[in-house]
Amino acid sequence: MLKIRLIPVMLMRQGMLVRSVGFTTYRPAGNPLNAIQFFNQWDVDEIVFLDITPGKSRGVGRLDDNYERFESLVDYTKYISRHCFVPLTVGGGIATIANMRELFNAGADKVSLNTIIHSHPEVLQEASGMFGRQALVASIDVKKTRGNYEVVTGYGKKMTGMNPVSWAKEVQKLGAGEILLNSIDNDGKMQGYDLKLIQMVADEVDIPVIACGGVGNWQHLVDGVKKGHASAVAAANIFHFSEQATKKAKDYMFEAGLNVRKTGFMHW
Amino acid sequence: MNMKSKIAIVDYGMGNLRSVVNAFTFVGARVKVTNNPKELAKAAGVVVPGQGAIRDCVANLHKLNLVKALREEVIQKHKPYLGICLGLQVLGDISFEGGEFECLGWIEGEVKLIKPKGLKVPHLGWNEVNILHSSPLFEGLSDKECFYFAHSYILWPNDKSVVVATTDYGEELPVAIHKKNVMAVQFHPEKSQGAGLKLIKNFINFVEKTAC
Amino acid sequence: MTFDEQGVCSGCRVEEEKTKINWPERRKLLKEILAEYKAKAKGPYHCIIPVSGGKDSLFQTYLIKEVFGLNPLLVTFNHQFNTQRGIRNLANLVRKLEVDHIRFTPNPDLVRRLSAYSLEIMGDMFWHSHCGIYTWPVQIAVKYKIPLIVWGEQGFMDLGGMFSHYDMVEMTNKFRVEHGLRGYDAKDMVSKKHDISIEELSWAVYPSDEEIEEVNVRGIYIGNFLPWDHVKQTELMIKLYNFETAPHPRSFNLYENVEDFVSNGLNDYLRYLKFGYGRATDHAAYEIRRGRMTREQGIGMVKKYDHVYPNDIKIYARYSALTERKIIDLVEKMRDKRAWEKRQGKWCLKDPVWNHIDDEGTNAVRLPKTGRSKYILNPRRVKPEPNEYTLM
Repeated sequence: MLKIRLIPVMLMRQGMLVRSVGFTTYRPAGNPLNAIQFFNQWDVDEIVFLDITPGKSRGVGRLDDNYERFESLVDYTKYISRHCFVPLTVGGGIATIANMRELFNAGADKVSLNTIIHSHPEVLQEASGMFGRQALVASIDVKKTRGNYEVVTGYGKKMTGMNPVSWAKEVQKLGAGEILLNSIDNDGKMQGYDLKLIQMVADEVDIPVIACGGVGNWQHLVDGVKKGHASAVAAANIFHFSEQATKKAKDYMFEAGLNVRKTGFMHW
Repeated sequence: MNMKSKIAIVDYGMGNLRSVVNAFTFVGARVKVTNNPKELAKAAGVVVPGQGAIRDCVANLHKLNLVKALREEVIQKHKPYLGICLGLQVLGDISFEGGEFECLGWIEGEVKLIKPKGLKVPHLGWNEVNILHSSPLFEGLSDKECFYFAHSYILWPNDKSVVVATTDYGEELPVAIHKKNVMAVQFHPEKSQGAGLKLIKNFINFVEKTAC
Repeated sequence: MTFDEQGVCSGCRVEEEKTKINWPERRKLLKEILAEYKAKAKGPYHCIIPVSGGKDSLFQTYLIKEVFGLNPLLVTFNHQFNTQRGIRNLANLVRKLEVDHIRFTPNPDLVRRLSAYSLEIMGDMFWHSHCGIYTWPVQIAVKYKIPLIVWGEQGFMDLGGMFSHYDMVEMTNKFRVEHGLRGYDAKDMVSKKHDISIEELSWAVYPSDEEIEEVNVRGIYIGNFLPWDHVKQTELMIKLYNFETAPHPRSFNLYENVEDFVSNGLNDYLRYLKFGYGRATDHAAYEIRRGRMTREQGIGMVKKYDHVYPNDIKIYARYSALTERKIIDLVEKMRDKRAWEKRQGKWCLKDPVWNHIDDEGTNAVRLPKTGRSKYILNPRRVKPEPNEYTLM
């Protein structure tokens, strides 16, 4: 039976990993290489690496530590993928087939697309034919406006007027293999996933849905699966805060009766 | 015993080559990424990875004159071969992904869309692998170990005896085959953490033994 | 750190959280956690407190033992650049609070070699101390099977706003490697050139994941359970235990790091050379946030102190057999060009904070001054400090 997956999301802003609240407030959380090394040790199933640097330099940073910094997402992918032996999904402003190919060649196993699907849906179709849908994740960010769910794009700034369920069905039709579903309202609040939203989408599409946005404790992860019907549970903030966090989360999910993969600690 | 026989990882422009190279390098193999038949001739083992559509896979292999070279090295000279994902599917007679495409025909059988009742396609994620027969690939790995899958199609070998491992996804899928010096897996060992790295190590050991 | 649209940094925003948090609830939570570990302790000690002998060590120990009634085991990693004042404070802590204490002194010759190596590759001659204080207490926790380690301030949260009080962050190896050690773990410090082998670094190796899990080691920060303010806390320690303080040429703060020469001195100066700001900036930020200084006064402090050349560089020069010039030169390649530029052959701060004293928008985020920045000198007649590192 297919296992439920636990996925830490690494958000990179100007070369630094950050934790976010509502897609607006950002606090520094560390370095992508260090994070990916520890996550690989601590029982994760996949890793998502998103570049949320709006047109700014990615190579800034101190010169006295043991970490390298680069200007391009492709170079960062090459740098961190050497230490990643679980599937790595890379995203952030990807707009062309050439860009996707560069990232695959740099070590990404899947790419995450968001804005481009809205502006040029044919790119997703073409990518699907070329790389296969299993390599393509459609990232869908959702905000509640006047009680209704609406899909938002451009780092949470541009409203699209679209309903998440219909959009999810559309991206599935266009060729996405998975959906990364993010609740902007719940992001960083640590009050749990927006279970209504997750379930609404997961029940209507045939492709797997990864829940994201709002995890504050391990029970929220369990709820994401049992109540939200997600195939995978993700979080961007909480895994930076405690020792062996992802392994403890996995253990908790296992004890709660979820069909998860348990590998213990990795030693390289 | 010379621990550093060269392993050729075939680059025919498809899929996650870097991940495969990273994994092989990490476990200590001496790798050569190439699509040059002369380099294949110098290698002690051949790895064909691949992700994407079979149409492009087959077209690229032909365009690069690799079909002949692979046949020479693997079928005639019996060099160990490891196929990953598309590298398994391409071994069949014919694939029905997006049309009808003739494949290498080294393992008799057809590549068809998986049809797991009530479950989502693609088969995407970690699943347990049932080891049917002992094979050097699974040396030291326990039954029901998890590996990472990302596919919608699979090769159904006519001769069931070449199937060394299966996975349950709505139906029992043949996910690992071994016929003489030809081995192939539908899952991605380069992305399957500890278990995957072990399998890769096993293949490298097999290449070392054969090279001696 | 990050800056928001109003130009306010993440550190200030995290400090603002302190006014909104339900501290009585947090204190209750701390009490429960401590009671839990006291009840399930397998041996005589209920927790470990890593101490340096500084102001925070004293406060933490007072809190855990006197206020909450636990029996802690105190552990100190001897970094060897001690002031005699620091040794006196440490002895005072152990004697007055009546606690058991273990002190680990690594091979002094190794420390000398390590310090030279870390100065070369990171522009920091104190790596061994950062490593020791984050690693050795955890080794003790595993060896003695004492799961709870009580750390004090989460410095990166309190100063730079890396974490929020709502995260309830705990100590992790991930944090230790990246932020404590700058990505250089023990295995990265093995060096043929400096003759450093991994065998000599046994105290620097973090316990394995399995060992941590078996004992269920957990490192909590007191800063998550009460509104951390080191000035108020130290005043109490002076009153209760006669904690000794001293003036320092590179800052107006009399309380921080009196126990070693370099944290306010040479090591902070090297940091200033790298990044363009030093301890005085940190201390001013604390005071401004806590309403005891205006931004203008703080900027005045930065201008006065950050650039001051460290006296204790002479001690390090003797210790390392490097010239003062050589020590400074080793850091040159690490100067951040975003902060520094060369004008007529001299390094100058590109855009120091005092150029922004009247920036637009400062009044919109100005905090009211509710107190005064003052530090107690104790004793009034400062005991002279010899110009050398005291080993023990």
